Amino acid sequence: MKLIRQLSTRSLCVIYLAAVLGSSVFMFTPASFAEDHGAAVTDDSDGSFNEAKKAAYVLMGAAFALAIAASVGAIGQSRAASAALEGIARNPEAAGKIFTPLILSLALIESLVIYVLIIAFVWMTKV
Amino acid sequence: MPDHSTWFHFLPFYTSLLESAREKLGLSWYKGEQIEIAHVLGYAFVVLLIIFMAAFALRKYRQSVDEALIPEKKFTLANFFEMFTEMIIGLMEPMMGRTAALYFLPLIGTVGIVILFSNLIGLVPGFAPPTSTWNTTVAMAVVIFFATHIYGVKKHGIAYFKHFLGPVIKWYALPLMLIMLVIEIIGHLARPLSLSVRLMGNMFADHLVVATFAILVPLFLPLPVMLLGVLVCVVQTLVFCLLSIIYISLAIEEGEH
Repeated sequence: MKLIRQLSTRSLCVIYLAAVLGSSVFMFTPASFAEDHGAAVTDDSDGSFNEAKKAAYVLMGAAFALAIAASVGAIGQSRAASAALEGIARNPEAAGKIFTPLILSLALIESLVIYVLIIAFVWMTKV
Repeated sequence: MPDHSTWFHFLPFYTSLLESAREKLGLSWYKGEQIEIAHVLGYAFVVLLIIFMAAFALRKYRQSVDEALIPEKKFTLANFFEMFTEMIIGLMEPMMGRTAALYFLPLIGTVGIVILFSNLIGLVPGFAPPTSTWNTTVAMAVVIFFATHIYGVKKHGIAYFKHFLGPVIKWYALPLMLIMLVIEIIGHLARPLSLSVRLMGNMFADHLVVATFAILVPLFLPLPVMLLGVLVCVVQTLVFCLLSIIYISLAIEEGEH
């Protein structure tokens, strides 16, 4: 701690910048070009409903469920927040009393989205 | 993703303990994964931490009663526990009245403190939050579930189960009573499920996001997510305690006639 206190702000900023740039070098490693196996594996023209196609459907269902849940949940939370902010704007002294029910309602609405997230996790790994 | 190494991996007996646990318990129902005992050990660690903190903070109460009544000047550990107790009682008093609030304070206070510190310890690097598996959260939710029914029966006797039958309890309202019974049972069973899954989902998702950000740029990128994580920890504790208070007060209310 004493060593850090002796360094000036400028040198600390330079060290931080160097560290971030240095660690971001790993983002530019060459990506491996994956071949397109997808179309061959999910081909079920022989009439059977094979595992890869079922997996594709399950994953797409999970993705759609999560997207719908997150968007509708955001709409609900924005309504709660806007009502709370309007209440604070009318009566700034009641901000403390409005804050607790606001946080509670946001958490309860968010819990519905999290139920969908848990189900999406279960599907994603059981596929 | 949940299989990162924690401080518990440095214990000498950890690997053999993990192997024997996996042998006896098999695979987890959740994803067919291997059992991870870092969460349960983290739970034990949190409980030890709370007991030591409480014993250290409350030593002034053992000296004399007059000294114990004087609040401390700075923000010490004893002050923190007193503040927490005040907050829990402030949540309970408008719903239940003073005597019931003091009666249920041990249950709700214990659940609140355990959940708060279990959540917060997940933010310390090297620990896994014990509440991020369904095992620990469902234990607490089932305790609250049984508490509501047992205290309801204790207060009202067997007539407590008339609550399930709805508003009208006459012989000509039999279909209504049956439908209300089904709805009430489903609602009552959904309560511990929602309590446990809400807490588990929040902690698991938060830990997962921090881990994902740490894989991208491990130096300072997870910090804003950890700040959000502190808020989420405290809010989830509050929501769990408030909901359990609401369920208990619904069970013991007597504002019928």
